Amino acid sequence: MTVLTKERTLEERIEALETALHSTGLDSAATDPLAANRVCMVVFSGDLDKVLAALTMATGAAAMGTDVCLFFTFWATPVLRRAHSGHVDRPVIDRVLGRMLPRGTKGLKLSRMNMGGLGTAMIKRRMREKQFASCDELLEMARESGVRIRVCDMSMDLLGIRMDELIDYPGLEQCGVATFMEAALDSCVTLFV
Amino acid sequence: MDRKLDATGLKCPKPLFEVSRVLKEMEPGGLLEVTADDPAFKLDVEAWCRRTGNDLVELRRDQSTFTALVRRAG
Repeated sequence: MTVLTKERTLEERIEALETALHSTGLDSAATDPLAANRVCMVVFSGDLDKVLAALTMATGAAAMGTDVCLFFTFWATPVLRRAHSGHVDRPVIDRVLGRMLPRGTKGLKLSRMNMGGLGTAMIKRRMREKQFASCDELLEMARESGVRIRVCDMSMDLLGIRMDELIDYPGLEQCGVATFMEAALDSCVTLFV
Repeated sequence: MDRKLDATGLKCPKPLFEVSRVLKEMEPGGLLEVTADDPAFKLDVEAWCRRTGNDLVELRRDQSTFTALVRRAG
């Protein structure tokens, strides 16, 4: 007589699950003990509310002892510009783009209810009154807690933004999709904001 | 009590950012008392302690103020 069902111990069940996971080939995050402690995020949006959400999660994760890496791309790239950055010797299109895109966190708008800037100003005032951390404060906290920032080389090229225009942030470097994908494959959490 | 941290008035993620910062300066086994009035603090400090391995010795609530005793992991 064959035993069809058998009470399995927790260890046996975990072992079976691990074997099944290994066979999928998708287990790097599950078996690499370091991966369990890594978070990476694509910051795509340049909207004030979304940048706030991304930076809040990043600083929160860092405060939990997690290794965090942020990849700024497309509309989020100008968020990293310094408030005052000159643009000498640039093609006309780059200068026009440079003037239209926000210079750092100050020029960001809400994704909804901007109302020609009135909504954004109101929300910013409420944030100050309620002692919410601003984008600049969150960036400072990120710097302090060792959050790494990478910026998409293609977005910079497309939007005419140069490295010397960007904020002074430790280890801030340009990268491409391979750098992001490597980080994502080695992380247990990847977010797109 | 080895250190006290007043996080009242601070909003997410600042209270736990401060807890993390202060606890790092303390010796393993040191006891930190945190007061906070962010409504998110209760669930957040519990999750934070579970995740970081620090010991949430006590969590009290007095009206809208929370007081947490956190022991730094050894």
